Amino acid sequence: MRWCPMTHIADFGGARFVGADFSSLPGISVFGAFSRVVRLNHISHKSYFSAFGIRNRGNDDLSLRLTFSEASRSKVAEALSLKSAATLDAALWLPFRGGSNILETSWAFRYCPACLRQGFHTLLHQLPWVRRCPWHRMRLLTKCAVCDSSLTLRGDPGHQLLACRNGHDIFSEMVSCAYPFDQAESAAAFIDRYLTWAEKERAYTLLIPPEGATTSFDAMRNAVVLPQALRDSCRGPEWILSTSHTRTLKRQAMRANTVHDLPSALAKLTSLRDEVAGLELPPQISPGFLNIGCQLANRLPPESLTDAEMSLFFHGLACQPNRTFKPARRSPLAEIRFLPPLLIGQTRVIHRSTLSKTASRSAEQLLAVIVGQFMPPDPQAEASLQLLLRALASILKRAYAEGMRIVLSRYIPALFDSKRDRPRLTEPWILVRKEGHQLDRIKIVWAKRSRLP
Amino acid sequence: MAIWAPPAPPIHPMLRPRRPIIVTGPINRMGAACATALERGDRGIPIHGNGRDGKTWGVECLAMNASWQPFPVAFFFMDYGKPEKATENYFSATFLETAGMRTIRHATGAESMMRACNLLMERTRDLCQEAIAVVINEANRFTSFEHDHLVTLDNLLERRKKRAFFILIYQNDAEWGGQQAIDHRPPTQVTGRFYSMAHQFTGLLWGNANAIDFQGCDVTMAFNEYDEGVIFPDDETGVPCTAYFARNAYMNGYRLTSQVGLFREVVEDLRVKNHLPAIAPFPMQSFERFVYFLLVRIAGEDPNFRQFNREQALKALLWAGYIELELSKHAVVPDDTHR
Repeated sequence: MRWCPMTHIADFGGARFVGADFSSLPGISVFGAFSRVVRLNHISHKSYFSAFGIRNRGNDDLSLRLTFSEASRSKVAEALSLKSAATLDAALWLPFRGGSNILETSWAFRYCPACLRQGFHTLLHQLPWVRRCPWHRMRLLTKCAVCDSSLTLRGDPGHQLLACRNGHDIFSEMVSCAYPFDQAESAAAFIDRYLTWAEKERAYTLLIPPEGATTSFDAMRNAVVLPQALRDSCRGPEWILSTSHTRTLKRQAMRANTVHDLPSALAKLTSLRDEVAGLELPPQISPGFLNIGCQLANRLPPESLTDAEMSLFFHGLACQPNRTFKPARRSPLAEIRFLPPLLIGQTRVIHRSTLSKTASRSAEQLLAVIVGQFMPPDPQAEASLQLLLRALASILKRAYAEGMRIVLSRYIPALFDSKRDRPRLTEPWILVRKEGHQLDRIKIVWAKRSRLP
Repeated sequence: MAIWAPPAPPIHPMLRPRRPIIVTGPINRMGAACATALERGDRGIPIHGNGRDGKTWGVECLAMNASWQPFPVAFFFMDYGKPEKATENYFSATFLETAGMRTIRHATGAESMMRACNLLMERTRDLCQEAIAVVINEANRFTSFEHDHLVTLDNLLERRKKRAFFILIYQNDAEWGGQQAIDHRPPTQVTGRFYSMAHQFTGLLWGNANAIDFQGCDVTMAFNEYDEGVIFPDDETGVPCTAYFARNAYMNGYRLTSQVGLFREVVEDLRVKNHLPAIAPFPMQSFERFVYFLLVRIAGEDPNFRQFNREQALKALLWAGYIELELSKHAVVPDDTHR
């Protein structure tokens, strides 16, 4: 043996907890780091304060709290020396601006069983548009993989964090501390590519969430489409049913059908912002509303509408009610008489109470964000305005159809049995993509409301 | 305000606050004993030795060298205190604190032991060492309770397919007025695991009167480490330690090993004058200080240095505190300490 320099052998690199060296766990979430350290250091819920500086509140979902509570997150991050921006800021994972709380709306702790077994969880797994773990190719779960019961995500006495109520433990202490994370390199590479893409997208894309949103997860699952290189690794099973409906409008498609007098058409819609009873429909979009009204009136069961009410739907139009129409034997109702687009002078006006409130608010927000930023003489800007008008029309038509069904169902209970015309409310999630000052694409995802606002 | 300091020129290891460890005969023998115990499948080995003989240095040296190990071994160090109650909690907390881990209030003994076990598993993960040597300083303070904790840790690690190997460093002369032993004879399972082999660590042996070869004389081997080793500033352009401080003499063929006979005579004379047996192992602490004084303070400060004389050797020996240390090992200290 030869002489060797004297060094202190017990040099542990500064980590003050077992498992707290996160250098090989790229993009680990704060809750992921917390649960890993809690399990590997056998920290009971009573010791959370002394170890991390956070008080254990029995009913708190810690995964939710440590993702969205700034105070709790920063305390845990400080205790565990977490410094990565991707770990600390959930908004960095979103490929759009303006919707940093969308993950919170319908939060459910989502994990890859192979990653969690090794003590790894990342916010990438929480994103609705990621359906499989990109590096393990395993389907992401929200319940116990064995018995489908809920995982323990609270500091419960008598229950291990991350184990299910029936005692099935996803996390393996032995694997987490004795073996390095098996996909460290692939995960780091994927997360890096994803975050780069998300950052680039954020510069162009804005999300307008519906007011009082109830269903962000399902809507956002369909709203965001990953680029091919990323999508292939995290594509989900095709059989997952979705209750949402997506419509994408592109600027390029607008150039072919030029609409004249766009500024005045949009100016008419600006009354959405005002507290007025009627909304004057620009002539470019009014046929769509008339069509909706006529078709619905024709589909109603016999003896639903009176003659006077029916004639209002077809007032000023070339088409007529179906021959099978049988008038109702009652006096006309004022509420139904306000449903059709009314012809006042040369213009068509719809009553604001007919529009679903959530959808009309979304249209109003879209208008507020976009209007005033374009120079109409510019042909590019004209295409943008045309796209905006189409998007607004699309939102308002749906708002109108839904609002009308709701009103009618009060007087025509048979509508509840109709598969097509059953009253229902959806909420629009609008993704606006802009390039420079021009609108490039507007994607509207209609998601069924899970509850009334 | 940031404080900027210019880069310091490299300092010779002998001039640093913590001087280098050299590999000595006793360390080699301890390495061989540990290798045998590991090979046999023992779960521990007690290392007995007097204070300042260099046991801890020796084990640190073993940790830094892999050549003696029959298979890869990870090393962990733990300094044990003297608790009033030797609980699992105290034991594991000492272990975790030595490793720089944060103390967790309300943790039970079992939880802390599991945490300690996980720590060992994690720290041996990257190099895939299956054997983990836990060096426990001051194991002479152990009672039967601590041995139970070692058994617990051993069992926990065994279940995780790791092998614990406890190097228990016993200080023979730790107690005032005599040696200390554990309370009772340990039970068979403890003896079988940790005490089926023991090693007596000594200071540097002088060997036979005429033995100046490396095999028979630890002191010669140790001097040779300074003559040939501690290369500074680097392996390619550097020179050994003796050459650095006694450049001209070294170029003329001078080596510390050539004066082992003189040093031995000086040591023997001093011991006899102090009513001690003439021959005794040279404690590592005194030896290292002795060499430092000779090279740095005498040879290094004298540009015309050729070789050491008797007075210089005696002065270095007294400066190293050799005689005080040796006298402390004997029950009766003479009133007339000869210096």
